[in-house]
Amino acid sequence: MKRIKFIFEKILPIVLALVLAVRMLCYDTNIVLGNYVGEFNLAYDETTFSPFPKLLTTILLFVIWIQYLAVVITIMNNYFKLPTVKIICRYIVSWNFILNLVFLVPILILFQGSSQFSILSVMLVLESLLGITLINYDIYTNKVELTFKKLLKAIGIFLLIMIPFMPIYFLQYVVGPFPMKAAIYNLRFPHRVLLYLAVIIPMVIYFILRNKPREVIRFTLIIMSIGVMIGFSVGFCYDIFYNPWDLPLHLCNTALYIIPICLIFKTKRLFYFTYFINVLGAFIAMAAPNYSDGSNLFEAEIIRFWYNHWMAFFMPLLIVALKEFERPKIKQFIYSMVWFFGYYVMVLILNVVFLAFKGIDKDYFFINSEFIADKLGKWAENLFRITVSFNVSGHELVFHPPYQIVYFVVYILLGLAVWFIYNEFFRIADRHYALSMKLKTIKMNQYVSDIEITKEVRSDMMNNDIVAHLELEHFSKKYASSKVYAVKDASFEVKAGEIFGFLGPNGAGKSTIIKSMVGIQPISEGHIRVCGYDVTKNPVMAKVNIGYVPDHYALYEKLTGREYINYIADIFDVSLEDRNERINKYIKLFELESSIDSKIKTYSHGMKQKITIMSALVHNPKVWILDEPLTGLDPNSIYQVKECMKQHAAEGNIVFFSSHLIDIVEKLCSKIAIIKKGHVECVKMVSEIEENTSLEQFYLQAISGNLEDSNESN
Amino acid sequence: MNQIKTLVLLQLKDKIDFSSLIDKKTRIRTVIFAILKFLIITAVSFLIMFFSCIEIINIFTPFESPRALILVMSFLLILSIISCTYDLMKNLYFAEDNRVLITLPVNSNLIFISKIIVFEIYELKKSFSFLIPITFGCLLFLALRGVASFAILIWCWLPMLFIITIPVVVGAVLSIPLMYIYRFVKKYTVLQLILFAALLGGGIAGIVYLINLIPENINLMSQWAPISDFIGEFLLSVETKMVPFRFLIEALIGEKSGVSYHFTWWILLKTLVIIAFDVVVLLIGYFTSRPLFFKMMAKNFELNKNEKKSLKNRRLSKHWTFINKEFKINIRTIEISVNYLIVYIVVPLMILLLNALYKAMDTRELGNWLIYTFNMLIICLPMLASNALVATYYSREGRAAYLKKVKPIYALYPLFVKILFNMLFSIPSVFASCYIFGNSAEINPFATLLIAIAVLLLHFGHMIWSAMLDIMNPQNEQYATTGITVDNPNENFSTILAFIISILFAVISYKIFSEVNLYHWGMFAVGIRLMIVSGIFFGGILMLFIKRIKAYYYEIQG
Repeated sequence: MKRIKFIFEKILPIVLALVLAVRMLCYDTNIVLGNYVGEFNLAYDETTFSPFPKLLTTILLFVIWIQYLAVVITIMNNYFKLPTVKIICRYIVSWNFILNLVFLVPILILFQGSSQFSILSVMLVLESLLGITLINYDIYTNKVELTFKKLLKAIGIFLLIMIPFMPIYFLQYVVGPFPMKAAIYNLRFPHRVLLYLAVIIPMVIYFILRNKPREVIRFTLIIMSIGVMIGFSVGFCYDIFYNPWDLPLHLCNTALYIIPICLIFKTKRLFYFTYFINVLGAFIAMAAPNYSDGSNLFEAEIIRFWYNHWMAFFMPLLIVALKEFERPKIKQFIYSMVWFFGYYVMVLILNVVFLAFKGIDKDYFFINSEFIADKLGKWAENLFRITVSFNVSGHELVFHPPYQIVYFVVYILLGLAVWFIYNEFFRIADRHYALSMKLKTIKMNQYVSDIEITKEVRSDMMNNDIVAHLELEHFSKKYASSKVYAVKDASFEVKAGEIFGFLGPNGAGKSTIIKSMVGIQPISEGHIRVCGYDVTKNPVMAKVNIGYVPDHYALYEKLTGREYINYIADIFDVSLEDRNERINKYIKLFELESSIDSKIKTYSHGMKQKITIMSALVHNPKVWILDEPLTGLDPNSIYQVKECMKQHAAEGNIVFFSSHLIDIVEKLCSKIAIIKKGHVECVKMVSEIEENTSLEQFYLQAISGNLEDSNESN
Repeated sequence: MNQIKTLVLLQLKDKIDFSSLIDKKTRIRTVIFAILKFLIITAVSFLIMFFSCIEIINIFTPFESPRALILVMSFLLILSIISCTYDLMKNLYFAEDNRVLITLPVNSNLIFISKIIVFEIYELKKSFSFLIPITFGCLLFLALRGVASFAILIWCWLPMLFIITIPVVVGAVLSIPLMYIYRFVKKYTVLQLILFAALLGGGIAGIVYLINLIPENINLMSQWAPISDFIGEFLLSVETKMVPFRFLIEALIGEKSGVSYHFTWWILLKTLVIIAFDVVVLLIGYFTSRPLFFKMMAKNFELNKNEKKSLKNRRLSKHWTFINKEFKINIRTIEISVNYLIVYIVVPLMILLLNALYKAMDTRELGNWLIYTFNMLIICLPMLASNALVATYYSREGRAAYLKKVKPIYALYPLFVKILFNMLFSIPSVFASCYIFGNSAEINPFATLLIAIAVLLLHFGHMIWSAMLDIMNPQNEQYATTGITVDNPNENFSTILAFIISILFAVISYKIFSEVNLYHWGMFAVGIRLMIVSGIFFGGILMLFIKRIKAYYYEIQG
């Protein structure tokens, strides 16, 4: 059993890969350069292009196209345990293997011009048989549940992943010339569209894949890179081994082979060569393409050009963006420069040798011609003209040392420069990703909070009657860049009708707790609930029930007092009758008759404090939170505020306030909490404290750490 | 002396955030960027001088180039004096930290001196971004062309230091009478309106006068010789008439002898004269302000107490109340409103002047595309640059800004309403500018409308971006304590973005305009394309704004 498993899962896929590789190289003509290519700008004509009717030719080309995908995905199915891939293999590509056998003879005719028995025919048959065998093995050993939705999804994914596998001649043969004259050079509009696609395609792929599991990302990247490599390589056959000058050794061509190798075998050092060198080269090539001006958009060579350069441009960046390989550091840059040096020297020598010995001007990487120098100006042309030649066996090898050295150095510097640009884009991408994750979390919390609204609140909501309640549950707060907790594990509860005093020395954490309650600061840990609503998950509902008086008044000084209070009342949806009654009451109480319609800018400190208090009460909040509210008030106003607090609590609401004035707290509050260095030292009823001692003595004991009983009590 | 030192350090520590410079990487990055900025501006200045002297253009010869330097220096210094006077008025008499400083046990004169010193430090810092590199670029050109000695490149730093001080000390002196004029005018609203109308009318009349001066037929190529002669004569008159500024330049580059300038002992004497001037003016300012500074400063904390008639309470919907509040605050904050009004009126007038000039020129197709591109640039640049103020909108609320988080309404709406009026006020300006451009260039009105929408979307996009900068990196505390910010990073970044976006949009516009003949629908297609470009920018920024507010607003520590 183990042996069978080993054969089917390890040996046969490799054999199938080898069969495909041999098959791709073994036809001596190919469709691009073969019998069926006439002048491209002739109308599609069955007699000159294909011996078969147009529909059949299209079907055959389609089968050939899908066959590449079928083989690759069948091989990869053994290495990736993805249900969708299995569905594609079983229900879609398996049919293509069968069609490949059914249409074997016409396919042979298209490839090699006759139906003669050949290695090609053997490979095609073997391919299909191996494919079918592997798929059947997979069906036998792995159960996959099929639903209509899954099948649709598989078909959708299939249609997407087949795109990279499109042979470069497909459009040329099936569709014919592109109908409109499109200027795909000199940054004209069609050229720009293709450049935009070089950016849009990877962005779309990135957004689709970024949240997917690692296996899916890896699978997609590998199949894309193999697909384009195959689609590009259909133009080659075995004679490249006899004519090495036909090898795809241009910089961007190498990317098509390096990328799949690096992805499959995880070779990092080689990968970063494509990252630093190929991407830049591809971008420059796309910006200034070297095909002829009269090229047509569907021509095989144009498709080859753009597929090649899109892939060389965005794949390395996409691979790093999707974290398949890590962001490079200086070490990787150095390795890539070493590879680049090796490549540079190799093509330099090959160019010179091919030209000298065979008269073939291949000019890999354009370092042996004036193609680049022409674009740079006279100085570059002059530099190019400085040559050094060697005579080898009667053949002259001509080099252009200054030009070629400058070319090399400038390219390295550009590679270094674009590294910073990539990093900037990755930084932006990371920020956007963090942003979208954050929004997702917020949405989840909102959803959860809608379910979590406490039972009491739900029944009270049904009774249209919210009960005042304030609860801190293991609340902790750490400021952004600090390791120290400003408040640690604070828990207490305040019920309706209570006036709760919050005491503590300066910097103890009183304002921190209050600001977290009212929503000015986010909570690090724990929960705060106001009338049953969590201030983090349901902030709006929580804040509806809060009236807040800050320690330092914060007002719009260009508004009048009345305008400001009406503005606050509008936000809290207070009816006109209610606000008239309350505003007039408080104006009288705080003696602001003469000032209420003057700009707040003209008010004294005490008057501004009064306006702040009024604005916090205009909507009659269930929970009235005050942070040291009596500072700066005259004695009469202090008395009035205290009376307001008593009345507010007597109406079944909560008054929660912090203060340093122990006398006032003692007389006013029913319950107090003492906080010291971020810890709530105790929570007690005032009456309980006063059985044994004064509040002042109790506070001093608590602050000095001499409390016998420091447990929280409600 | 110790007291002055303490006061200066106190104010500097409050206004400048040094925490980011603790980190070594940030320090290195800051230094590198500063050097790069300096080098780029120096290079641009050098190249402008260089190209002005080349044979084809020949505005002046290398040996006449010091005259251009005199003109540049005059322009920059006069501008600097105006800006310093205005800023000093704000700093000396209106800053919120005066309330704190005046309570300290120091003489009010020492507060005056300390504020001047702090301001001088900021001016020096600002000069490294602008005045110094421009001047250095010109000096480099003079040295390389043999007009002056290479020694000036080392020497110039000393006199430059004191030349930069001139606008500060002059501004300090001028701020005193100007404060009186300001207080006088402030008392009478009618007077303010008359003054504003006079300035506006004067500006418009000036533009119209300039337009009428433009000859009917301008052919730069054939008329270049007389134009060049005119420029030469103008520069000569600048050299002979602008004696004080010539004196300053001579303190930098030396005494004129023949056609070149020689580095002699007179340079040192002239520098001493400049130093003496600075000291004398500073002393004048000091002694003049001595009896006046405290009173003038303290008066700004006094507010009129008038009996007001009791008004009624009014109820508005939750959404209208924000609009109502912002409207009232905008109207009552005259400085901001006037600032926008000026930009929104000046831009159409500038376009009118420019297009009158262009219309008089005989241009080829390439010239037409360049004209269209410059129009786009001239419309976008000031409109976007004015958005730098938007990058301070939320911080200006001081501590009141935090209270938005306390209210039971999602902050996105009130945050957006804050910039709504800006958006509304800018619409007529953009449409007017584009109408003038379209009319002058004889572009189809519908295409003009599309171009105007494109510019508007760009303007709104940058405005929202500036707002986002302020929300994400609030400077509330500085506004809360001092009432102003100095060296607001959000404002600076917004201004840089304005330049970059305007130039990029101009480049894209050029490309799109130049292709108008290649495709169907001509200018209509141009309008659509520009709208698509701006629309993508605006849509992207708006989405980012909404998402960032939702994700981070409530986490920004208050």
